[in-house]
Amino acid sequence: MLSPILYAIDNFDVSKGTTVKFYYTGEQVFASRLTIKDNETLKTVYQEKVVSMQLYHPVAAEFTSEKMVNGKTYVATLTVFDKNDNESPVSNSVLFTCYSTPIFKFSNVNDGDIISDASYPFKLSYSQKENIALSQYIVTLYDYGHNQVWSSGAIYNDASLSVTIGGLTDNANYYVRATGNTAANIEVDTGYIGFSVNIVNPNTFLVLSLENVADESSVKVTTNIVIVEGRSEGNISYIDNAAVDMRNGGKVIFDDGFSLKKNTFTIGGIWRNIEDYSTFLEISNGVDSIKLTWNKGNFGDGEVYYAELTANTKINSSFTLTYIIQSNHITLASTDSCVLIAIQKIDGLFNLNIKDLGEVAFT
Amino acid sequence: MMFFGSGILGYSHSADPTLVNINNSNSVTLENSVCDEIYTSLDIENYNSTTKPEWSSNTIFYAKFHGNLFAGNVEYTLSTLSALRVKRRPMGSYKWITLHELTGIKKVEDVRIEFKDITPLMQEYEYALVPVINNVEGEYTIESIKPDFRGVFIVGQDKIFHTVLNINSCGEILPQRNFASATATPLDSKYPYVFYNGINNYDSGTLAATYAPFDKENCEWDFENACKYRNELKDMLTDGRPKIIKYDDGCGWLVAVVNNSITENANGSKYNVVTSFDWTEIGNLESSNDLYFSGFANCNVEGS
Repeated sequence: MLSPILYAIDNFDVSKGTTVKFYYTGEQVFASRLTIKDNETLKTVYQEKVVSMQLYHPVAAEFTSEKMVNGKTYVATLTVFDKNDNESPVSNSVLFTCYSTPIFKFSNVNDGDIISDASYPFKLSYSQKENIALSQYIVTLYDYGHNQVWSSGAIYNDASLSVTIGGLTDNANYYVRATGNTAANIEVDTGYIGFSVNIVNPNTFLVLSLENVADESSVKVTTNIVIVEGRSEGNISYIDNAAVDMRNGGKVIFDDGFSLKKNTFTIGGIWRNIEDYSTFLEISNGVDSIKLTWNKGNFGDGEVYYAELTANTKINSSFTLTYIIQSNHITLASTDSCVLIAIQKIDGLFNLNIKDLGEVAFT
Repeated sequence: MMFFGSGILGYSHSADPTLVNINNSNSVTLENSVCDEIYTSLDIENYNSTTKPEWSSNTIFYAKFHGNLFAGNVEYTLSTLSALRVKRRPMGSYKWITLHELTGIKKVEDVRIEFKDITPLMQEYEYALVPVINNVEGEYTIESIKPDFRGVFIVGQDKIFHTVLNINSCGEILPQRNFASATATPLDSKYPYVFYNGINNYDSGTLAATYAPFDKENCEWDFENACKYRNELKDMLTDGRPKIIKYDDGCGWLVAVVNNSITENANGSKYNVVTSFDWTEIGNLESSNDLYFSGFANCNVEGS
């Protein structure tokens, strides 16, 4: 009989077993016997005869986990048997090492997650008990039908283990999967991780405007971006990432990127804990100003709160015209009540209204 | 009202405050309080707690203090904005291509893009505005549109010609698909072998139609000036630059005019002249490389 040829054996985890493939050009194979020895001691750790006409030999995990140890190198040989149970000469020897299965997974996305961006950095984590390094990996994006829509290509020697996938479509479902190879040629796979995309888009109005131009078969693209950022002076803090606290001497100033050019405008806001008798809002053009102060008083029906608007217009270097109006009077349900304040300027006149909203949560 | 025997404040508005004229305010300061939000508009609006304000063209700023002091309709600052990109993809496609990139943004007035995308076919598209913040693409603001037009358009980099008249006689553009193959007939086989050489795979065809300027005011074709119009068309077709042919059935091609001639046939009337030329497809309208090198995009970000 001829000798079978044993193919290379991929390194595997003893807790999972493996399947050893071989090649044989003689008569039909009816059984195969695989012998695995410890490469250091040459002590046989596995020897089983499997009756099968297939050219592979399954090694069950129950044998390998009992007799073999991850981190050790072994040598395998194989013989085959014909229909008369004649055993062939021994095959070539094949060396392999057993390693623990690496842990390879996405660290910032789980199955069923909702992603709120069109572009998302998918981060991976990798660990292996015997410190075998990850040599390469590929991240692949699939649509809902598991059709591939994007692939990162093979990424080598990347310590960051992060791939940003852009162009995700709002309200679409995707699967992402990472596969790779370790330095010991162990395949790693995260499996399909399903996620959906719900892009949180606060900029829906006019930020990007599209217009069909039928007589040119074109689309007019217009952006309307308003960039205004306030700055702070002194000590300010945020409450629940929903409100700004300026009670410790801090200020928030918006003085770049806008101008109230028209003679009519509305300014409204929601405040709470306004310090009594203090100026809490000032609007200015550098010369003239509009100031709002918060007041309380008793006009015969108990203590009430009100805002007072003072508009100063500089007529010349020695004369300033002052315009003062007061808001309606309100009582506050509690010291933490929210107050809605609305100013309307219509040409040279102002409306000033305030309203107690009670203790509502910041939004 | 009488006061010490004299009449004062005699009219209903006599005691009203004096009007003040404060314009062009450009600074708003908040202090001595906790503020949930502040909203400013050039409209006279009924600002109330039950209806949250929406951005409009008259909104000046709207600060919500969600852990930051942004008060515009985007959450990035001028100092970090490296560029703005407008991207496009057919609805359902995954691949974006950048059509327009705005760089060199120094001041607020620079942050505006206005251009016409002359390349879309009659199918639904998504467009995205993408800020490039510190050289990294940020959040996509996506809108969709389906261009709607009638007839055939021949689009050059700076001129567009349009017609609905006598299009290929049959009213349809029917291209030919070309690919490279060779057939070998061996002596010992009943059937030949077919070889596919290369990856050539492109359309070509003929476009014949009647062209004349269209008077939009009176909604009629100006055949009196058709000759001049056709000459302008022929000048554009022979300028050696890529063109886009698109038709209202949703088809379109990035093409070059080929075969050395553009012919005209009068068809029995000077008002019924059909101009005919051959074209061949030279690129993909969804390729950023092809659009850029054909002069239909001002950048080539994707290189695909």
